[in-house]
Amino acid sequence: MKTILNINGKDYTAEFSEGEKLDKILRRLGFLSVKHSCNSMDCGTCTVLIDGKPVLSCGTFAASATGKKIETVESLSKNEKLHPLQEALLEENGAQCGFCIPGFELTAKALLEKIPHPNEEEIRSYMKGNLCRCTGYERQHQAIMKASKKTGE
Amino acid sequence: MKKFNVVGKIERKVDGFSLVKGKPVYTEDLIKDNPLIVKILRSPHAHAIIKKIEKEEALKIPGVEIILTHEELPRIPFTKAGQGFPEPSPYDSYILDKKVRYVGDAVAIIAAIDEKTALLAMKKIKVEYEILESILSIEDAMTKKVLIHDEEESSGIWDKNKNIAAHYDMEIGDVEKVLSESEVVVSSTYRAAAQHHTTMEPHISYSYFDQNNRLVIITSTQVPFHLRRVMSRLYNIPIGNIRVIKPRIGGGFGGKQAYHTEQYVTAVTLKTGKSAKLMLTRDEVSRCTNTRHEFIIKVTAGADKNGKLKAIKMEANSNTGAYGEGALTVFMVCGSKTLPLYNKVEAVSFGGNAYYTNMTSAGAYRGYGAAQGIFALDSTLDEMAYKLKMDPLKFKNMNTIKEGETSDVFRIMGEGKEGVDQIMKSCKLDECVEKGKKLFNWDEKFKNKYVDGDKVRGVGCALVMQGSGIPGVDLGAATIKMNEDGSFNLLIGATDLGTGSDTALAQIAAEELGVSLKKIIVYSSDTDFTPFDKGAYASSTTYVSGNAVIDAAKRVKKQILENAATFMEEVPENLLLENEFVIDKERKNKLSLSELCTKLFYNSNQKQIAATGSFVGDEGPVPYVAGFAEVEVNLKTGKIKLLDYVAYADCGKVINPKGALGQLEGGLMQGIGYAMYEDIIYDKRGKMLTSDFFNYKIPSREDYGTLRCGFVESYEPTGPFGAKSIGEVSLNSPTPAICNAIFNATGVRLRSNPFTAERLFFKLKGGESNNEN
Amino acid sequence: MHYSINNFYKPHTTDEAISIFEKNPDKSVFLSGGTNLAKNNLSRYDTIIDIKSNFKSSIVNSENFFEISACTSLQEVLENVDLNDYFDGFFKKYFQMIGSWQIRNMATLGGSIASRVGWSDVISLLLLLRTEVKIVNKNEKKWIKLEDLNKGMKKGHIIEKIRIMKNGSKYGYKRFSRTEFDIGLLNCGVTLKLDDNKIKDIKVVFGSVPVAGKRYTEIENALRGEEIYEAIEISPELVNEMFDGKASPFISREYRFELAKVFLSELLMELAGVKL
Repeated sequence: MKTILNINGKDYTAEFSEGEKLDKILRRLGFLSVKHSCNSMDCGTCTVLIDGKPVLSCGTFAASATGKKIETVESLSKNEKLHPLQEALLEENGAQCGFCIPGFELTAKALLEKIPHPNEEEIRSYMKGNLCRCTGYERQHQAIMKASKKTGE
Repeated sequence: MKKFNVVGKIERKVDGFSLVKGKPVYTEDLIKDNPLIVKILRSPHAHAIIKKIEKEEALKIPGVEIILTHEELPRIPFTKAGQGFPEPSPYDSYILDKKVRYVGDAVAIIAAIDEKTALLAMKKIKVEYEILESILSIEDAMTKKVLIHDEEESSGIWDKNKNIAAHYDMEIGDVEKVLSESEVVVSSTYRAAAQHHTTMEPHISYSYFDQNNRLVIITSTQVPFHLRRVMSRLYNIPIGNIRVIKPRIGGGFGGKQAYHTEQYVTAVTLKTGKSAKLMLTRDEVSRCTNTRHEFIIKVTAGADKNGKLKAIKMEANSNTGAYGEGALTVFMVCGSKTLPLYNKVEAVSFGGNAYYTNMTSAGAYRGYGAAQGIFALDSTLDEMAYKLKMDPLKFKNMNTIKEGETSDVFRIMGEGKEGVDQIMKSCKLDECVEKGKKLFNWDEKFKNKYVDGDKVRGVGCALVMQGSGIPGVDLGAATIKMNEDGSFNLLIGATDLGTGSDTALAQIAAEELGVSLKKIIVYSSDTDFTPFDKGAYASSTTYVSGNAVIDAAKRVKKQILENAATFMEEVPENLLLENEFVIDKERKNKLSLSELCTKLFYNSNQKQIAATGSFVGDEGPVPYVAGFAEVEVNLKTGKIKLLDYVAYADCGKVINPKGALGQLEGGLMQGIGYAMYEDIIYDKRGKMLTSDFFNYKIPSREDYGTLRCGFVESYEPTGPFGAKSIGEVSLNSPTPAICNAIFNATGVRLRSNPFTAERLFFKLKGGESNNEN
Repeated sequence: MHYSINNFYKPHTTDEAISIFEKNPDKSVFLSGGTNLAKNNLSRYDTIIDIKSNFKSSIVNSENFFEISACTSLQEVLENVDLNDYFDGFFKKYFQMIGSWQIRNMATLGGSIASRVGWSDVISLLLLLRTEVKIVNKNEKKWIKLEDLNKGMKKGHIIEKIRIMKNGSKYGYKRFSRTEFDIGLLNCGVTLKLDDNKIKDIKVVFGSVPVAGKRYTEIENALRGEEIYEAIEISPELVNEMFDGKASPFISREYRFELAKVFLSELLMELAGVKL
């Protein structure tokens, strides 16, 4: 099928077959920040935002996403400028191998929009679906706290 | 101690900008053409002989490019383990073989224009198997009359007729005699489980011929140079005609220290001339790469009644699965990187076998045998402390190795061969214990047990070690060349797996050259453009490759000073390199690096300043961690909650504080997963049931309480600016510490990990779990 | 990637969805949140009918019940103020246990019920409340009790709405999982109404045993009318007799039974506010 997908505020013509998932299509359209890891909706690596809400693109049929606003990490910052979350991740060493980071950033961004100053418990609860095998989570939680302070100013 | 400008400072990862922006930097992101998609047909049987493969029907499908079976490929024995040459692992593997030895073993390589076609072809291949009886446990391997590697061609196997891939034993002193004279003896058997690496990025490689018809392999590997050497041998291509590139990779942990994809794409590219891509599915990553080696370890320890440890006897057997990646070396590290901790014993022995089974092949995994060994050793010593009615922390620490001391084990046991003598030139384990004890509030918590109805809390500690590189074996090298803006290209074979080694090595170069970090441009892990490096394993990058960087930087510095001396009309001995300037010692005269290099490039005395340095360790300095765990156990259900974990590490000088902290915390979390949650389960026919994240549970953000870490810096004189290693030692403490904490809480000792609620429940009731699979 | 799928429909009404389905009932499958469906092997289907994308989520607070449209996401249910106010934070507390934020954004209440996966917390939780579902197919539209779902809901049915009745009981729920980001390997829920220390009304639900949650009416009947301390005391014996937990690769039958006993007696104690 051929249809329009709205990605990061722009319309893209996408051609895909009916059984294909969104993660593959986004990568095919050049949004290479979208990663796939488990392909069974168990790790959060492929998280994107649909209408502002974090969902798993490996479990979302691309055909379902037409007419909705899809967001990937490419939308977070332009050129050399970093989003406060990205800045905080760099400062805290919250990205080690970095493979889980695009998914992490999108969930965290949605979290900060929902709860601008989350406490530790809220961070753990909302971010639970984003597994990370490198960091032991602590640096990432610090980064969210730090970004939350910055965006609150 | 010396004052540093770059080393020891918090620096952002040099590749961090791209990572946080989600830039296309991983193997799959770099593929620009439409390569052939490679899929591997795999065995549904644990042990079988392939009688016949019919692929004609599959080849008829439009878009199927090629299907390769053992009949079309050279049958050259090799090991998939990425180790130096000659590898200490048995040559027991083939690109494809006529026998399959576990569920998931490769049978055929399929290449097609897209995934759909490749999968369709896979379904159409008909394979006739003669199913053999299989071996699905260490106990089976010891007793069953089934042979897994009876083929002639394989070599380096200890005893094919007993399924023993590797064997080792050693004894220092007379262990039986000292044990018989010891006032207190404890003997316990522990089973350390297998574990999945679960790198977030699945294994992937991509191969093609470049414009000069040379084979290029872009791959998610920890060992680009070993890979190049092995592909050269397997396919009879000169090493010079192969280029291996490791881009950013999504985690390694030992899981990418072996060849699980590269030999297949290479076969396709060689046979078709076309580019080829193979990305494993999560199921394949779990089932068809490597796991941690499972071990059964019996520890017998003897002490006098004052708590002086007198003898340790460790009898170990490991499960190396279908193939012997690291069978001998992992086995030896189980002893060699645990026993030196307790160097005051009068006698010590270690020995046993690594057994083949028809299970997923075991291989390298962060901790590399030491994680398994220390679970058994530390926990047994914990048992001893309770028997002696001593505080286990005090008992362990009074018997551990101190700065300036040595252990004969270092000399006797290396990796796959003899070790090297080494004296502990840096050891601040005592301080790690003191600091950890205080932060954790050990004295108070150990004395006063918290009980609230059915909930009891307990505390446990563990002292652990590792090494830094493999002395006398593994080489690292670095090249530095100077640019006319005063920046330097640092070219390193070393392999950053996300560990932050590119950054740490750049800091080391910057420090030695007297420039800021941003003046160092790192390029790593490309066999065409970077000098040799063993790769990322054995906690070697900071220590081995870091020393190579220092060597290169010193040579470059010498050239800079010599050339500056000419321009400044000084003698080199009177010059310093500081803040991007060459300055004379009286600080009158100075020349900027950019001015110097510009002159050298364009004006006079023209030349390129550049140098290559290399390093191989004479020893593998030991990093230490003291770990403390507090758990809460629900006595009614057996459910265990980790409330707090505290760890202090001595990794020598900390090069990048947040980088090292990330390594420590990340290693601890993998250790916590190993201790409490991660369980690989097979069915009765040898099929793994835990090959996805739905069934194999790694810790999530809600599966630990507080995690508090710190460093006690020591100065390792042989290390780069005093550094040792942190990568592996970080993983080792949680399993014994949590085991000990559960005992402290309940009086029950779980001697098999993971410490599941069910296991504890039935132990608490006095029986064994019915779910011991 | 599901290679067999050739058609993807996004109808706007249940009638439209059903008429598409009826054109090729053997090859068509309804898609709601997708958290279960997208995981499955769909090779026997060629048509997906998406009954979430163009449907409106809604939670309506009526006098006697809450009416929730089937496509409402679990996260919307979790966050709904009226529901949580009335049921004392029930949804906030227990829906939090389900999957992750992402999963709850995707999964719908209707889809979670219709798919009837073995480990479902949603079914067990809704069984504790008085829940009715409106099922629709080409011939009928009717409300059935959630308890009767297996009997009532057949192939070709869609869940259109869910009603949760208002009543004044106390609810408790426990689940056992390996990690906090995991399906339950056993869940247990109890609804309790006491009258002078005697059990006036009770519901007992066990789920993930490993099949989806159901009420254990035999246990309920045995406990109804009992004095609470007596009920707590006999509950383990009732579990022994009437619970039908089975073994799975991740938990033994014996341990499921032991957990079931502990959960049931603990919930009785907690809800009655007593200790033994």
